[in-house]
Amino acid sequence: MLPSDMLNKARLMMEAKRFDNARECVAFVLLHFPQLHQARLMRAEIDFETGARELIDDDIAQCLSINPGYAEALVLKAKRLGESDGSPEAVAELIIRAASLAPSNTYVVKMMRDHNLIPSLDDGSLGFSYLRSGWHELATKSFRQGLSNGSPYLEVRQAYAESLWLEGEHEESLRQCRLVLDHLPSALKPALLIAHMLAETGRVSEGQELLQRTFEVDPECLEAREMFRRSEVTRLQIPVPEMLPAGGGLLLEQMRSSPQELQVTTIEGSVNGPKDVSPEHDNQAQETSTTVGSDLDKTVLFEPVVKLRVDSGERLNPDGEIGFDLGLGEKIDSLRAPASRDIESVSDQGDESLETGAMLEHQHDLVIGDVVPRVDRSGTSKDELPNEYSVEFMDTITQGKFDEVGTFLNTRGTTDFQLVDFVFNELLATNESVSPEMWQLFGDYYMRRSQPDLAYQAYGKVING
Amino acid sequence: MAKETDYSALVYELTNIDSVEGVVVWRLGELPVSNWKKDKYSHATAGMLSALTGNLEKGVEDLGLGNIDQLWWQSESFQCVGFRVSDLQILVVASRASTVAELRTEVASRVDSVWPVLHND
Repeated sequence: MLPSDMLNKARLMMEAKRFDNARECVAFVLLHFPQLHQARLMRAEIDFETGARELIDDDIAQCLSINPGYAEALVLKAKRLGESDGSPEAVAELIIRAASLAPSNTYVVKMMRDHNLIPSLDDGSLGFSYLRSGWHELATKSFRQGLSNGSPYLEVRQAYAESLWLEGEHEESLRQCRLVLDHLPSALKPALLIAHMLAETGRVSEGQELLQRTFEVDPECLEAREMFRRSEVTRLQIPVPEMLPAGGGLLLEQMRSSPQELQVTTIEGSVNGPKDVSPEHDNQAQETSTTVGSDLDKTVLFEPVVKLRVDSGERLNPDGEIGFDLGLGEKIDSLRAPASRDIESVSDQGDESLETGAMLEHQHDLVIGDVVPRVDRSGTSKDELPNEYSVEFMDTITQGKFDEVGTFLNTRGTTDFQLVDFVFNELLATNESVSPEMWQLFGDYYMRRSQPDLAYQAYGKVING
Repeated sequence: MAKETDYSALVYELTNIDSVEGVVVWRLGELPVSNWKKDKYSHATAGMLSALTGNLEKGVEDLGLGNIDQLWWQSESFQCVGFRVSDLQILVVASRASTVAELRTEVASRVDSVWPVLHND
């Protein structure tokens, strides 16, 4: 079993308020991979829920030292700070930083709302937005500006290094990576970037060695796969994911056969991935708990039925209910399901070829990357709208309301670059039927923003249709 | 939004040059202003030309080749001379038959004549 599979199961147990079982699963993972930051964050989340405070701060710090741009860890840190009478400004700052990193994360949005905060519009935030949208050049420019304005946050520098790398400016990227590593020697992303750049400059064995060293914090090489997938070529060979020993399956089996009564929680109204849902993060979910007797089929206990509901009333799953496996089953097909599944359970079915590491890696590649749409930790796809305004704005455009669009671009568009950029990108990508006059407005807007590249695209649509 | 500069005097002056077919003038962060002797060129043409020039400038700058002060291109029908005057950018599209050196001289002299007017704005 892969560590992420075990953590996914632990996450589902957390959702079902089975904190003891979840903690056992996480402890098992940490026993074998003590530096796995996702596991440490989960342990911190469980501790926060259960009131245990011995390890929580250390776990959060460890997570952030491995990934300074870990939005969920920042939010948990904010909660922890708020709990210990930390200054409201510091709490707000942490939440705003998390919102810059994961603006669509409903948990972050809830925290923003609870604290009456508005998203930051600084260069760093804009850079993250561009980076998410694939506009690396603009991202680089924004991060550079943010750093020159004295942004003290390492996540900004790390993202700057990443955008430089994506642009092929390896020399500067390398320098920025080293600066991050000077402060956070165990940071994962800069190490991976350096490994890749070393390999690309012919120092493949050094890059490979550096990649090996990241196993401690990324035993499945998930981050490495995700990162190297974005580069055109890589000479690095990503090894077979590290597996948990067989005890993982046994532990789950033991839990499954436990005679205790189980609270099965049916969650309605949330379409985010399980990683996005923390025990406190159920504002959008209307939970109804049902006590299931111990005499029921034990398999059922581990297969809570989750009905999906979208606010607009449309059902994402018209065929009916979507079930997913909490324990040993193999069916994980809901939108809320984790992006990987239990490979061990597949190999248990007697397919011996799966026992080879290469095939396992291939299988894992399939389930995490190609078959299932990639879901980030915020539980939202990269194409998801940044906020509700974008939907409204998009509607105004497709309905051809020139005056409103013009007014919007000249008012809100002068500050909310992220929103306009996102909508423009969507229009280009989706080939929405937009009139030439509307493209003209965008072209003029980008000329005013001194973005000739984007203006050119817009004017091109006017001329070429 | 800041009030944009009125370049109409400059544009008008440059369009009056015999061989010139059209003029596009803009400043960084402002919309291009254009004038064409024939109506078939739309506002988008001015936008497209200025955006294209902006892209070219940026590309050259990114390559470490410096900033473009002047440019010239020629098609089978037209030629275009581009100038950077202070923070102002000027594109003059003329017929292919005209002599580029004369065109440059004429444009420079017209810009000089209108320059005080622009500064008074």
